[in-house]
Amino acid sequence: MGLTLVFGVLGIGDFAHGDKMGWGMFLAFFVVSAEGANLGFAGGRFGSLSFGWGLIVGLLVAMIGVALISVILERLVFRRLRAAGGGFFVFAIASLGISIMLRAVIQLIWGPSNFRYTPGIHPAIEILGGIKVKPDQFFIVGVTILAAVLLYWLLYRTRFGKAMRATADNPGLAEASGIDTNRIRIGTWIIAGFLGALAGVMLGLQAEVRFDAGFRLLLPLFAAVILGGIGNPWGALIGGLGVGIAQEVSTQWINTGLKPGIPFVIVIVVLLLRPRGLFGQVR
Amino acid sequence: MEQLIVTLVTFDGAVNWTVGFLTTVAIFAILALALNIQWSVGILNFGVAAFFMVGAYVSAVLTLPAPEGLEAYVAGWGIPIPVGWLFAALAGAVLAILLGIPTLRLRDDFLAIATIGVAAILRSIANSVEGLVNRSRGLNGIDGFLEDQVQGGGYRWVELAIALVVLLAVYWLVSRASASPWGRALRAIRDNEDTAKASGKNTVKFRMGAFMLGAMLMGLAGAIYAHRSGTISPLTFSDLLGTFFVWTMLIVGGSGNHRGAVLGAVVVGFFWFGTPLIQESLPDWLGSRVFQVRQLLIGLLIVVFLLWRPQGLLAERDRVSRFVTRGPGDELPDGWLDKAMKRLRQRSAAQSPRS
Amino acid sequence: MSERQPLFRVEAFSGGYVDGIDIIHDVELDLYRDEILTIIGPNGAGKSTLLKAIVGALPFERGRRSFQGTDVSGWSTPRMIEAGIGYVPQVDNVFTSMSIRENLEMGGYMRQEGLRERIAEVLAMFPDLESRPGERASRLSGGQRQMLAMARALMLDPVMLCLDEPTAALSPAARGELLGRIYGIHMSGVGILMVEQNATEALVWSDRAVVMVDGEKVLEDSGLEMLTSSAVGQAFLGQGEEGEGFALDEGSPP
Repeated sequence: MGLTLVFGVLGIGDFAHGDKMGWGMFLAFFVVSAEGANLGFAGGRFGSLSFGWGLIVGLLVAMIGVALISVILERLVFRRLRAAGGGFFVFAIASLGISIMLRAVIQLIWGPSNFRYTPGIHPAIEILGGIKVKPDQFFIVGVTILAAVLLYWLLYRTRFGKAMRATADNPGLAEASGIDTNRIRIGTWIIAGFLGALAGVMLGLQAEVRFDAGFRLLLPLFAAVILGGIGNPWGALIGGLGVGIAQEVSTQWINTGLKPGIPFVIVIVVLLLRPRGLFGQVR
Repeated sequence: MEQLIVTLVTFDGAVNWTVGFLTTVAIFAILALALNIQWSVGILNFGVAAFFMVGAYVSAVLTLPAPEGLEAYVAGWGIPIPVGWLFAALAGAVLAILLGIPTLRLRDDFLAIATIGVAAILRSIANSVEGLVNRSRGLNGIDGFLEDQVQGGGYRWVELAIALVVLLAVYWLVSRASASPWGRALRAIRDNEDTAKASGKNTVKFRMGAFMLGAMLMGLAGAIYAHRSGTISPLTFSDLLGTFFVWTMLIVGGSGNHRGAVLGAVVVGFFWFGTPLIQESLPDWLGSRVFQVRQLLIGLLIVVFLLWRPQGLLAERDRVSRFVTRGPGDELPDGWLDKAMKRLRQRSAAQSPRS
Repeated sequence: MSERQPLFRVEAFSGGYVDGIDIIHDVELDLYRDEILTIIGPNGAGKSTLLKAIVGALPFERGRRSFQGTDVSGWSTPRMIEAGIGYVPQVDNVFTSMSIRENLEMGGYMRQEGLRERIAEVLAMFPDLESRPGERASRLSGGQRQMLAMARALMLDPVMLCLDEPTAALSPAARGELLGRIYGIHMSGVGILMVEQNATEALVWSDRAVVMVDGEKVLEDSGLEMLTSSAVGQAFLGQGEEGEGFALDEGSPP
């Protein structure tokens, strides 16, 4: 969802979004892990969930941290490129360069190993029909829905959110209406940063904390955004769900190793059939 | 790449390193030239690795003898290496057509995503489909071109010669192509797609042509790489080395300019492959992290050049002179929109609307 | 009062998109609050560019522009808008993905208070829009879009409205209705400066008109005068560049 926001509002296909998720993941890990324990955040779990206050604090730190990174990058890089008249190409290549840098720094600090927020096995519980679900997964789904609702409220019900949509729609006219588009862009990066960090932490909770996890997710992410229609938060949510389900279901018939290819196939099929995405609006 | 990491303690070592380095750089320069052709029509190919890989694998499986023992790969017909090269180039072009048909008509950004995706999917296919290309074991024992004709240790010189000859041929080809009416049409498309469309040029056809030409050359580079290195595996064709590395070369050297692409390959290549040489002499805290630092600097190079020297080390010719003052009624010079936007931003930044 | 203060005055004004390449040359122009002033002229004469310059959207400018007696040379667009000038670009002048109401909210983005009331007021001026404020702008017809664009520009109670070819690409019926609306807005106390290709129709409504050719003001007269004197039309037609026709001759006055 953060990606679709940046894509839509700023006209930047942010290839570094995946690695920002990676940063969110690791910043939270930093808080949760031993270093964080010294600061007094360790211990405690919520009921049958695998984590306690440490992760919540970690999540906040991650969100602020990633938003900060995004804003700094906008100030240092993207605003200058925009002022120099750079188009989509320049932004895409710059974000790719940034993506490489972010990943390298993660490796420099935390090394190439994989981590988990909480060691040990977390048993799944059975719900209806013998489907096994981990308590953490309920939490993840809940948080995601909450984030989507909040984002919708922001974009469609608040003055700032509407100004974001206006800037996305027609930056020149937005400026001619007296909207400070630079402030809107910064705000967009912050929100996208929050969402990216949130996604990163959730991913770390669900799977492993690893340096290239974010980058590996980039393709499914873009697939979800394209599937849902660029700049459309509901579309991104449903697109994300669709891509995820397609990936899992596909393993019934095809080699598991080919799973990463599924989003790609989806992208191509969607591009051929509905270039504006399933929920894209016809202009 | 690891075979390049030799210590330079002896003169022979130094010579060998230099020869190996130049050979590798020549191959990457071909990739950079090929990318430049695509970039020059505004095709954002983030999947150079895919074309590079296809070329390498196609030529390898065609020229290798039939698989034996634990080996499992298709073809293995042992055909002559130059024919393998030819098929490698063709394979690159076929991949370009398959990718280009759904994406070239659409928004530019979709092609970027599709290419980055095809690199990922090809790697996962090579890694996971049994009996296709030996999965993650990779292909080994790929013969070098003319290797059987050369006695003793002189073959590295032949490798260098092969790479350089092909590079020169490719350079000649792309220079001719750019100077031709076709090349001028391509530049017109990049500078203003709408105008080019209005003047009756079929932009999709032109862009597809450039995409295919670039892809063929990438495939060829892959084939040369495969026969030169003797062993390839899916890991060889990472996004970092196969794609972003080439982009860095192009941005640093100067996009839209063939000499710049070659220069970028030399400069960035020296930086990348030269780093391991100084690893020993670095303090331990840095030496142990030299590869990550190197990756960080590659990303930094891209951003820094885009910000402060977007035209690269060698600027595209005929650009500067267009800014001279003209009389009224003349059409606006290139880049006028950029300049105008810049000026407006400065002005609105200088005075906030509420002040 | 023989010495009225002009609402907007442009003096010895030159400028363009690139430093050193002027599109408009040494233009003098006054707009009074009680008039509709129309700028006409062949394609590429710099009409739209002049309009952009007046609202501070032209990167390079020399000379002086003053608004209600204040020197506003070098002011940026947001500042001009805030000062009370509404600007409607020729194309892309509405937020297509947003509803009518949202478009107006964006037009009134700088308003500190009374947003709701102003939206109601502005909507009341345009019955077509008032009946369905939730409609997405992309679903509106060309004429309705143009009205929405003007409504958006009216959100900040401007005293002057700059319209860039408001009737371009509209059907004759829609053109007539729109020009009528513009006159209505004018009667509520807004000075109107517009650029037009459909010169004959626009001149009917204009108090004064200015002819621009090659970035220079070549003629200035009352709208009626301009309309009736075909000799005047022929005269500047002769002066203009060959090739590009001029809109005045397509509907010769009765």
